Amino acid sequence: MQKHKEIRTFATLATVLGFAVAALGGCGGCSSEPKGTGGPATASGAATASEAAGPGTPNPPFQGELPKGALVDAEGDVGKYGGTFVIASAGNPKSFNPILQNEASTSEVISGPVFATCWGFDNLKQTETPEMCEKYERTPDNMTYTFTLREGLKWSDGTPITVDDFAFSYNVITDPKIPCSVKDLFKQGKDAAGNDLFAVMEKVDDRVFRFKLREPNVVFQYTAGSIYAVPRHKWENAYNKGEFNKAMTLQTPPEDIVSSGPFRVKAFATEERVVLERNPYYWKVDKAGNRLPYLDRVIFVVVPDFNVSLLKFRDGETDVYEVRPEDVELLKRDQDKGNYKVVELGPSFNTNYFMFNQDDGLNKEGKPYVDPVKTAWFKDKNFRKAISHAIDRNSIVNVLYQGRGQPHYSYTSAANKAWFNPAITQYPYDLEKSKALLATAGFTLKDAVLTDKAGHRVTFNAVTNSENPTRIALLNLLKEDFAKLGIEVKVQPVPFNDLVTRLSDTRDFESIVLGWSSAVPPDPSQMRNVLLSSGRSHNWHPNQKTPATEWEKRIDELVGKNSQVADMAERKKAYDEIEAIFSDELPQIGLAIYTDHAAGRNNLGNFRPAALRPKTHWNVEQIFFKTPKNAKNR
Amino acid sequence: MWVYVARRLLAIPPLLLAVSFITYLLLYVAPGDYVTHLKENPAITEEALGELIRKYGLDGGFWTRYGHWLANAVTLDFGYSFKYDLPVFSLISERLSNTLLLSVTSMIAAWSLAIPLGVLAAVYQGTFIDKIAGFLAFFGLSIPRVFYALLAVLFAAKTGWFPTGGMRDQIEWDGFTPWERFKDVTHHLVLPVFVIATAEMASHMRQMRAQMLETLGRDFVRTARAKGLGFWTVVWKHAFGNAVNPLVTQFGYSLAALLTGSFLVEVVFSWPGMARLTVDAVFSQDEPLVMASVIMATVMLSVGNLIADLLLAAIDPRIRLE
Repeated sequence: MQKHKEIRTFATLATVLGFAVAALGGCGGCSSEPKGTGGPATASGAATASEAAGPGTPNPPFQGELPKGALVDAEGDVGKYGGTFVIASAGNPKSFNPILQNEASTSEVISGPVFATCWGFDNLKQTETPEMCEKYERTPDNMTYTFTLREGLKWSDGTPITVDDFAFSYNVITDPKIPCSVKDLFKQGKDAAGNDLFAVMEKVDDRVFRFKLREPNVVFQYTAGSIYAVPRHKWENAYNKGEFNKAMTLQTPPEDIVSSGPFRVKAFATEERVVLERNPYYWKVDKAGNRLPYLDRVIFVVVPDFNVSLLKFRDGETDVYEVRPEDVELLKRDQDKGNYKVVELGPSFNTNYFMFNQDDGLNKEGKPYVDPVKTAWFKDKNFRKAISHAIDRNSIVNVLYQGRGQPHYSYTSAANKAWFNPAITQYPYDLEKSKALLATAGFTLKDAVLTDKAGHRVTFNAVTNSENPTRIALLNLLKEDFAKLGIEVKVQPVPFNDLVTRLSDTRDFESIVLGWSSAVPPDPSQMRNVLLSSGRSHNWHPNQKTPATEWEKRIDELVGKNSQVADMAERKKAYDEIEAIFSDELPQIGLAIYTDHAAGRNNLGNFRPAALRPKTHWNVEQIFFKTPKNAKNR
Repeated sequence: MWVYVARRLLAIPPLLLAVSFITYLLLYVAPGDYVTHLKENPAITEEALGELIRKYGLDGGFWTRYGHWLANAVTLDFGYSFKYDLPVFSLISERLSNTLLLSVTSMIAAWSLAIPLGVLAAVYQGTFIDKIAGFLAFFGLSIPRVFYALLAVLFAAKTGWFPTGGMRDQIEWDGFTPWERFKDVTHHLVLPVFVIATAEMASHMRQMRAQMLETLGRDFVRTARAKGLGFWTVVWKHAFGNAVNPLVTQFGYSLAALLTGSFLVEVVFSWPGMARLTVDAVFSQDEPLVMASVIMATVMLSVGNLIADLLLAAIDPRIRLE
């Protein structure tokens, strides 16, 4: 499922507001082990629901029979039908087409709540879960994956969901003329003529399809989970006419946006709201056999300003809120009065780092990107370690996050349950150690001025994006810390687009403060572009033809190993070594991670927020109101 | 007169050309472009970026791109918004009506307050009424519009009497009857209209008062009174008609400002109008959308000015349009 987050992948530069890009995909979770065919009975299973004191009446009602292969949600509590769930969203969707969409305000609405995938991810437990497929099998060489769809699945217009829908969708995704953000995940080399080759999908029968890969992929279930299938019966004609870009746009009548997720689009007004209502044919049931979702409607209200969004949550207009570090105190204080609770989600997936430009290439005018004198400092591991020891990370946590956070020394956030390695080199605040390291590296500190061997004063500029006050504050704290080593830093906030141009085109920066956010799932397969020395997002020295250093070469090998063995223990071992090297070599110096929070009304059942986006509604089909409220009586 | 109108209309295309050129140039020299934000996404490959750059035509130089835009624009094809993948005018027309609803209502409110208040302030010069009117005017003139709007939002949040923003109730709207919808939009209009109208009315009212004072001191007014005409008859029939000329000019300009005058208030009140669309488009460098918005605003401005001149000619016999 949320795989398609790959696009905004792991480690994507947090966007302008520092709010990530990560993908979204709601859904996910909540599933249980695949219930083989025969599933949980028919609607008569609802009899066992009597313990829920009557589940109430769904409006709009369910239609058709419960699919035979319905997925039984073993995680959530048994809830009640009814109610309108209101979520504030920073922007509205730019499209309702799950194949063409490529940004967060679109995917948080449609990827999950409206369109389901074949294989999902539980954002809270951080484990894979079945979705429209009840199971998959792989061959030992990780070259063939066979997926089995549940029996009796239907689109929201009552048409059966079959392998043909998946085949059609995959065909569209891999069409060179279709700009699709997940296309790259399926590319596997090129043919003699230079055309891209893709994993081959074949239909086995109406419920079984198979991917044949050209190169092994140990996590292809995630890749397959990035396919949000669209109904062939609605859009094949448009596609054949070359008009797929006109399918499921913002102007398409909502009844034509046939969905497979728990909801379908009911109404839409640009920059105002998206109204979703129950998909009457949805294919999940709760433990008691009641059909899901519980909620009658979900409304995403567009609120571009975070302060207004906070105001609306406090006023009771919205039901959930993604709490920023600066809001935690305020919201906790009024919890009882406001009838909501603030839930701690553990460390955030969003990290901040400080990085030197180690790129020794030449710019268009044939001059080095960075003064070679400075490049020599930046390439000196002891210099980077001295810098890391000079950063007072506890102060950063106290000043920026009101004490709710933790130091960060490496690349992967401590939030990542499967992949974080706690046994990395740590850099506690220690100026004496910094000075000793600098002395070893040949620097001289005299009269509060640091000079290198040749007598050059150590000074460099540091950029970050001007739209993000937290990063600017961070940079100013770093400037003070480095001044204690006799280093002069010139802080330069620049607009985001300018920053990205410097980072990826002109390479015109000496040091930078930026952050990473996470894709869903947060698997190392999503981080290749950052870790591999040939990667475009290997930002300290990108696009290397051959690894410039021994340690980068070793990381390249380990990344390869991590993506070629299926055994989780082996993968983890390789990744732990990557993290250990990263924290020792410090190409990016980790700074701090805040403790993430989300808030929701006390009236919500199954409110299980997670640190992965979409934090508050990834399990929207499970969520219910203990006392259902409807639009009219909110 | 028709010759005059034709000449004025003919002057619009060169103006649009100049405006579009400058706008495009500014967009071009601004760092980055629409796809820049994607470059930092590690999942997007060089090839995928290249595809998008070709799709949006961002690979050409300034003259290629501007020429391409211009060639389409003269056939009234303003292209598709990069961000929404929809024809820009379908986006704009939706927003335009929302903006016009806000600005026309505010304009009507502002003028229907400004004129009687200005006249009264002049007639009762120096009295309590004049002082109150003067206070209101200086308040409206001096308070920064953004701050004023923020105060109004704060007021709404504290009292709960009015919505804190938006144009309608997002949650219940779809279940409303037409009458409830009308009431709901009206409720949402009150505060932003109040802010724009009270700020806007200030200068009109001062102008009205000054003109009226001057006219009331003229000989023909004294003569009319001496003939035995009633005081208010003289004020409205004789003095007012002579005093109102400069206000008609102002009215014309405020027509021209309909699109842009409510910009800041729209942003603060999250009004789904042109302001947010344009600002977002500028920030994301959605070129077709920015260009179309700017062209639209320029046309409104030119036409508004023309109407102002025509109105003036209509009420002042001394003015002839040649």
